[in-house]
Order: sequence, then structure tokens, then C-alpha cells
Amino acid sequence: MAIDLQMPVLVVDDYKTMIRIIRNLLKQLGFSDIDDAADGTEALEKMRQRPYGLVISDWNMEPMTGYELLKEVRSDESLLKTPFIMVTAESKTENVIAAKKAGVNNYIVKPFNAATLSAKINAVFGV
Amino acid sequence: MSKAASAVSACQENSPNDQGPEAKTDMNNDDISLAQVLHLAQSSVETLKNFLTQLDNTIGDDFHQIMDKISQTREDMVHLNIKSDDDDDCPIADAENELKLVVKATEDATNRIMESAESIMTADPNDQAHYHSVVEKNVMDIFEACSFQDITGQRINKVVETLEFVDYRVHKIAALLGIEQEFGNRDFDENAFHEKRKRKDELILHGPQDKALAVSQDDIDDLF
Repeated sequence: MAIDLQMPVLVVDDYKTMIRIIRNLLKQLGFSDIDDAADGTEALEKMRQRPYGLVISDWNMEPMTGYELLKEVRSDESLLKTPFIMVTAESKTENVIAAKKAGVNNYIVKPFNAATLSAKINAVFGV
Repeated sequence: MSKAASAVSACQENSPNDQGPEAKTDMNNDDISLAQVLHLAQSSVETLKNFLTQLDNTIGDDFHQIMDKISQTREDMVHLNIKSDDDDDCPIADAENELKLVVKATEDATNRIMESAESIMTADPNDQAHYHSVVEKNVMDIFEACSFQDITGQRINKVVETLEFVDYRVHKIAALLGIEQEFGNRDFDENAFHEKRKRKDELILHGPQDKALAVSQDDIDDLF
């Protein structure tokens, strides 16, 4: 099964540089419909307005963290099936376990490269 | 003998007005009896004794206040957690380590970006297919290298938080010692600070880890 490269992808990060980097990496991988949000609150608002095929979110953001966003998404009937990848510098085992329990589909530790991002997206979509 | 009693005794011995029983008898022989003189002397001694006892209590209170201030200062110093023999949970040692990692990450990223740029510069433009792939690969490398900014930003924020905490504690100590004016006033919301720490614990926000302590991507992949 091939990944739909036309699906809308939401990148959530409070660092504009990071959003720009992930955008460019996604473009390089062939994705064309890329949107962004600066924190969990903005991301949740956007997700309730438009269905996204994939969410790639940082953890450490204010006022709503990526972890809180994940829990909100998984508790919302209309959003709970949205694939969610955490891309974060939070690299303690307890973070990974907490995110997995909350329903994250995959977890990438920063700094990462395009190959890792590509591999995790493929894994989420079973490619 | 108590301090007050000693003071009364010293006062009786050294008083310049004390000219002895003969002088007193000569001065008011017709009007005042010896019993009255003794009564007056006794009441003067009582008054003086009460005054000195009060003075003694005041000094005691002052010492208690000084002890309290020393104790509070000690507590603030403990909160600063400045240790030389054990760096675990020491915010200053943590901040020092974070800054070292920032320097290292910046250096690594700079070298990586320069190497990528040099690869593009030295690629042969006559071989278009090869040139295109070299440019593409190295541009991706440059993007990836730029992600250091996010991580160093988080590390520097941790250092800033530590500095704010140390600054607050130092000012609290200065206030206890009564020298806060020399340090200037600081607005610091202690409740907000503790609330922020509590939230960080609840949301498992530790920030970037040292590579040696962090869980690797391979270990994470094993969990999925």
C-alpha cells in the first residue's frame, strides 16, 4: 500500500525553524499539503476544522504540550484515528512509555534525519 | 548571678552619686528616716531590676530573630544546592553541563553545514545527474543540521530558568540580611515558579537529555 502524498499533514512545533525543517523534509519526501501550528491548542483548533492525514508534533510546547494534544486527540471521537508521530527532544524512557500509553503511533528523538522521518511515516502507514 | 543582678550590683558599686551612708544622713537628717531611705533604695533597685530584666528579654528576642534569619538563610542556601562533591540534582552543575552541550551542538552543526557546502562547491557541474544528487543530498544535510537550533534553544531556556531561580534565592538571602537595596528589587512569583515546576513534572517535561543518558532511537523503535 502506497502512502497518499496528497493528504494534509499538520506539523506542530513552537520553533519556527523546526517547522521549516520538517516542512522541507516532508516536501523532499513528496508531501505537498503541509500545514503548521505553534502549539497544541492551535493544532487542536485546526484539526477540528479540517481532517488531517497525519500529525507530526513536538512535545515541549506551551500552553498545550504535544503530550496533552495527543491525549485530547485520542479522547475525541472525530479525531482519535488520526495518525500521530511525536518528534521531540524529550528522550527519557518514561516519556516514550507515556506517549505510547496515550496512543502515539511512533516516536522520533531530535535531532533526526530525513531517513528516520521517512521510515517512521512508512511504519505508521504499514508501508 | 544573672546578667541583670550583675548590672545592678555594678551600678551600686560605681554610681558617682553614691557618697556613702554618712553623706545621706548629713544631707536630710531632719526630714527622712533611715527606714524611708532604705525603702526608697529598695524600690529604686526593684525598678532598675525590672528595667534590666526587660532589657535582657529584648536582647534575647534580638538573638532569636538573628537565629531565625541565619536559619532561613541556611535554608535558602540549601535550596541553591551548590555542591562541589556531588553534582546530582545540582542546578548550577546542570546549567554548566547544558551550556557545554550547547557549545558542542553549535560546533557540530556549523561543521556539518560547512562540510555540506564544501561538497556542493567541489562537485563537478559538468556531470549534471551526479551534481544534482550531490546538491540534493547536501541540502538535506544542511536542513537536518539546522535542527540544532531547536535543541540548543531548549537547553538555553533551562539555563535561563536556573539563573532566575538562583537570582531569586540570592535576593531572598540579601533581603534576610537587610542588604536587598544593594542588589535592587526583583519581581519573582514564587508560587508561579513552583506551579511551573509541578506542571513540568506532571507533563514529563525534562528537555533534551545528554546523549549518554538519553534513550536511543533504536531502543525507542523496539517499543513500537
